[in-house]
Amino acid sequence: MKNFIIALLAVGFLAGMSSCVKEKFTAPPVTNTDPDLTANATIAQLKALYTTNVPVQITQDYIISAVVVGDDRSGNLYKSLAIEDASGGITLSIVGSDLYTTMPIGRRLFIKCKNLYVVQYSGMFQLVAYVNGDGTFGGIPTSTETQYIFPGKRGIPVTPIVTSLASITSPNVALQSELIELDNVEFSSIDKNQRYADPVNLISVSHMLEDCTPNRDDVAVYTSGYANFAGSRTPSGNGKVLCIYGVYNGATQLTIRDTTDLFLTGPSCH
Amino acid sequence: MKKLSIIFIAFVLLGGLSSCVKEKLDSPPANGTDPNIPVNYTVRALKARYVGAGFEITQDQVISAIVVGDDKSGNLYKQLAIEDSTAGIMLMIDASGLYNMYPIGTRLFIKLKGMYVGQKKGLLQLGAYLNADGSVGGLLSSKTSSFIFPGKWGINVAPIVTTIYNLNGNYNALQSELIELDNVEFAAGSKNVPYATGYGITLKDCSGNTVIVYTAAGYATFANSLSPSGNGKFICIAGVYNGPQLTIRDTTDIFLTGADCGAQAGLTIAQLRNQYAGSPIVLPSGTAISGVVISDNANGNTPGNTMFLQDATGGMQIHFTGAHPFALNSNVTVNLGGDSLINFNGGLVVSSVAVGNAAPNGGSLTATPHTATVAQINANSSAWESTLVQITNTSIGGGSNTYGGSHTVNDGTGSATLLTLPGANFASQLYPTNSANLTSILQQNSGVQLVIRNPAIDVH
Repeated sequence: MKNFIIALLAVGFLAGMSSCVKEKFTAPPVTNTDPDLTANATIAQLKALYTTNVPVQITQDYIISAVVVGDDRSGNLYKSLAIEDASGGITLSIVGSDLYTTMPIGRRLFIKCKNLYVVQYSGMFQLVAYVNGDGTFGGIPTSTETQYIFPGKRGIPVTPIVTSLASITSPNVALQSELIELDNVEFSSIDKNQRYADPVNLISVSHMLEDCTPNRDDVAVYTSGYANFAGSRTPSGNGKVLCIYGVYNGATQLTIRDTTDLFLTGPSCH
Repeated sequence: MKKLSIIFIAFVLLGGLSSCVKEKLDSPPANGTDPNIPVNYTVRALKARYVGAGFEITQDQVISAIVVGDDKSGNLYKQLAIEDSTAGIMLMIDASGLYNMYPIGTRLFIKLKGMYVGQKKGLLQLGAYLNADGSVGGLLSSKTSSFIFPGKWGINVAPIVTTIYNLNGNYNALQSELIELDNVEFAAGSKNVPYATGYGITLKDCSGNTVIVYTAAGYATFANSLSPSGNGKFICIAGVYNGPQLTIRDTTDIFLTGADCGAQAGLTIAQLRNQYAGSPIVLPSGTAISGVVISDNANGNTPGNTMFLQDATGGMQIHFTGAHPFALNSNVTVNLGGDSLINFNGGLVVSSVAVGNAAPNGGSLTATPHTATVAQINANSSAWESTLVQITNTSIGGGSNTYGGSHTVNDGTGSATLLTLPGANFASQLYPTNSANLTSILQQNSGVQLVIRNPAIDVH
């Protein structure tokens, strides 16, 4: 633990040093430095606080440092961001739109977690600002956002976690809200060349993504009717998929950030 | 006939209930020894407990089941099809090369406590844990020895003989069992294509019932082999993937070498006769012939269950399972699939045809007889067997002076037997003593035998 803290301090120090390096800005100029904060907790630690299946308020002065791996640019994520650190991922719930303008994919966020809540929505861990008496909860209002969220550097590359459909058929808590990569997959026969969702009636749709094993492992790819690509059609080829790993009521559910996450251009294995 | 169907259905049901795993007596005896683990449960009982949701088995229950499908060819993957005398289930093990430890024919004793039953696209699975989608995760190979205890090996399991029609109606009951389908073939578009084509290729019978055969590209060793184009026997694992789906263990289970349905439908009678090569054959489903009825069921000189059918190429004697309703000169198609083409007293007969397999094509026709001398008839008795022959200016003699019984026909070129059954309604009529023109059916019944339909039309 002591070593860990030293390592963290070292990382913080290095980060601080590097923040001195000037980087080119495109207009409008934006800051590209990390705030003067040091992470002292991990997302895994936040999740570990949730032990009794009821929302838990964070009473510790925890600060996490996580990178945005999924934003709301396409509209497929809404009022939320998928963020991850080395320990895992979580959904950051914010009551606001166009979050991607200030917190796009690749931006590091330092979050002061004290007084926020760790909750689960249909099995999915979220970081929220308040919990209502009836058990519902609300995201961080934009009015108080700056008390909790301190955006840092942009353009941080995130390497997806390469996994397989067989490995994620069962929910994996550690993978939640993380960017994953699946290879040699394709949409199931009835889910090829289908609209991702229904943009007219704003209805969300799931399509099954499957692998090429004899058992044809498969999981659902969920797309919101509000996504700007909802009316586009799913590819019919085979290849790589990047997506945010999630669960919904016990079942694995994947969310693509945009159609550019799909590299299904190879020949189908069927 | 109805009774017969009911009896047949009852047999099928009983067959389904017992669906015994038969160990062939003529096969080499099984090797190895079974562990001393009392068996107190059946696969069928285990399957019955699955009602819409996966579950953990918490009781000290033990099944004994034989591996009928392993992963040797790669077409089953991380799973084994196992069955006991009651049912089959897919055993999920998270490892490859399972056939080394659990090859086809190995009896497994499985301690179920702590294992799970779930379902994937309708296929029931037995394994280590439940996945979120209701399917079952495989036992880790480090855990198999806690649950799976292999016993004797080399046990020969006879497949359950069924039909595509029956399978489509009972695929849940038959799933993960070894089954045999007879008289089947790949459908048009599924012949001569790689087994791993699309989402499966279509197997069909000649009645048009179909089922999907799925082979995974890149896994089965025979994935790129071409599917055969013939008709015959097909042994496989009855699988389920949103409906029935067959899994080939290996191509050695496939015997599709016979003439296909297309070749059998619209067969001429001569083509049918040519299929007989000296020993009885069961005709592939789809086999059908059409022609004109040349026997006369109204006058009793042909047994009520017998029909002689003639087309431009030849004639055929057909024995139905009961009296048939088709009158002389009816235009008829008879489906002969599954029936036997046999040599009966020297003549070719298709035997045991259900009356329902014959259907009128409408209208009536008249067959053209071979006009010939008795010598020519005797010389062509094989080619003209079961067709009409007409003899000009022949004498009839011998025996009594009525038609009933055996008489001799002689036109000066040779002689032949004219036979009239005692039950024929003209048996007591006098036959002409002067020479006559005689039309009759040429029958082979331990020698040439001429049989008239009735004197009014055949004797002038």
